[in-house]
Amino acid sequence: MSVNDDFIDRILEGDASDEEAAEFQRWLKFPANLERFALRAELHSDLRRSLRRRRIQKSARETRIDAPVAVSASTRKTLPTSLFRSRQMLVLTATGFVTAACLLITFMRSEEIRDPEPANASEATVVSNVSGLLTKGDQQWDDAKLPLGDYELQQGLLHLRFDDGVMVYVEAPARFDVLSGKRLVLHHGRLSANVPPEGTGFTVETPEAEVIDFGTEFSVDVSTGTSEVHVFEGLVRVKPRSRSNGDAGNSVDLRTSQALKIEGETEKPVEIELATERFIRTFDESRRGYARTVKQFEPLAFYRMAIRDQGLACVPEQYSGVVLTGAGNRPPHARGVFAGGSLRVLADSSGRGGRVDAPPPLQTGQFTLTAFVYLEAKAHDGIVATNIWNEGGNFALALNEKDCLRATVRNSDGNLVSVSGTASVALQSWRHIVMTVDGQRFALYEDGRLVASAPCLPLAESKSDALWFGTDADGLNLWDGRIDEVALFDRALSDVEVAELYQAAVEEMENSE
Amino acid sequence: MDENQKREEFAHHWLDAEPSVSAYVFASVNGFHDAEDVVQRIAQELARRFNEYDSSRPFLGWALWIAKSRVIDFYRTQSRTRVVFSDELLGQLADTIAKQADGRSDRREALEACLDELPTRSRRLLDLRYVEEQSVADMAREIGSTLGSVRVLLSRVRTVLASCIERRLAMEST
Repeated sequence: MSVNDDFIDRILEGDASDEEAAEFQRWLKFPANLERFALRAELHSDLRRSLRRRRIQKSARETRIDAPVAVSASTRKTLPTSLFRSRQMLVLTATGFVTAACLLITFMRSEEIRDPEPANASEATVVSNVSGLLTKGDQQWDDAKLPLGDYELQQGLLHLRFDDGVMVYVEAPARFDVLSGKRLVLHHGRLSANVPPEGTGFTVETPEAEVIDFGTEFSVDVSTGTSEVHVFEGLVRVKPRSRSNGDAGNSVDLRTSQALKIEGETEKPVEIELATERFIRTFDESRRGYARTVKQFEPLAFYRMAIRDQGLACVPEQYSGVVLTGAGNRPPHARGVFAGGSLRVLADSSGRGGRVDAPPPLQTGQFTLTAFVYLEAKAHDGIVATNIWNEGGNFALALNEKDCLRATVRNSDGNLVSVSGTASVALQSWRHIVMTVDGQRFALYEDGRLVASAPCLPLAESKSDALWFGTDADGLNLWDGRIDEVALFDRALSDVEVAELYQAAVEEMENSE
Repeated sequence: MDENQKREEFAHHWLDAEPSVSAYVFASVNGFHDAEDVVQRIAQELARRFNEYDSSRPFLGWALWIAKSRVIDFYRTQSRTRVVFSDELLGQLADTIAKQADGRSDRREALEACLDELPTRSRRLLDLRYVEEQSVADMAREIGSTLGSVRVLLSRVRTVLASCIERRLAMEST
């Protein structure tokens, strides 16, 4: 193929065939050819600008209005004198200034400017907002539609939908800029994105990198001078942004279970360990194995610790409670053991637990509590769940003074009986805990294994004692970590059933990473 | 730096960078209107995100980095575009455009003089295409010629201008 000026012009005009276009791109691989092409494109661009300006000037002269020169005269002193080397250049600059003046309006009113795209292509939509405080400029933003612009999520969680079904979960505190329905900038904070195949190409920019998704699930964490990208499934292309010229550095492809840290100062991305626990990647609870197994055992109440903005949800609904929030940025939820959320107490959370004012009555003398716990830091006497307060209530699960789990029940004689594990609870990992009372024996299981038991009379009856998660009735003895998938039964699960539950949990954990 | 100073600084940077950004977009996006839309979006985004710009680095590099993303966005919305440059090629093109930035204002100035020297018929052809935005087919009808001939004629006029620019710059440098 012979590439001459005529051919380059046809490419620039969009008149080339597909074959010619493909061939031309091969031709462009040579730097000299690329330079020639760039100069020709510059000529096209300059011709368009110059000839249109001349036409406008001609019309202006004909109507005795010389607007562009008037603009240049009034603004000339603000420019370096070297720009004014000739009359033509002066006029050229005047045109540029008109453009710049228009852009100043953009600069001043950038939040009001919309791209000339269809509205639905340039906005994100709020799917759900959990205790979220979103601001745009100085104003609180409560509209479900997010037009282009800069936003700050000061507290809570936000679930956004972008074009093509791309779901984005933002955790406060975060600042982000919606650039289009397919692109956003995360200035700081955390987000997770779930991108269906039709959303391929969805892009998150950070100060350090550009993250392009190819149909997958990933999370981004931006703090000062550092961006992290964690890929949970699929393929993501990360383009570190070189500090030297602002252009992209070499791309790195990240696949399932890979993570990368880009530090502005070093410029060289470093592979890091995948943070499976850090990000909230969906607000929906898994409907897979573990939950099905729990339901098969017919619990009285099942608290999945779903992320939702109206309290502590329960199946059945009548036993739902409230999430107790305090001051701070983080919501009282964090990623759960499988997916969705968990109840987050302390850690860097504002939450201080949950309360159920009307839990199910326990009147059979038998009892089981199952839960997942995740301890961030040791917290003596930190409570997982309890309904014991003064003389009322009949069960509690908490840490003891040695940071081992201690289960306590009130028996039918009114006495409190406790059993404790022998090993302190491992930090920063999920543990499956079960406590059972069958009328003769009181047992404590950790990760499916019996760790302590004691003879025990049937459980004392409870009717309407309030139930607390992560704290006690006085707001003390806070759990420092997360609590998830709490189920209450009015019968004792057998050893086999406890093992079955744990097996279901293990399988699901493996599948959900 | 207060808001007014920031605006002024942005205006200066944009004045310098805009011809390069336009050249970049004209190279990668066909059609005046589409290209000008993309340039406008780039300008809006640069203005909106100006507080992210690190003033110790070249503004043009940052502007072209944003420009590249906007061009890619444009490609995604346009299935009909024949020439879709790869990511890598867009990056190389940005580098090339940045390298050529130094002589750009000289070339623009030379173009003004060269346009003044063009024969009336050639100027008319350019006006039909660049100002009145006629397609090559419409132009062929208007001047009573064939589509191929008009393409060749237009291309020749551009090449004459390119040579004229080169000649003028060579004369100035001697």
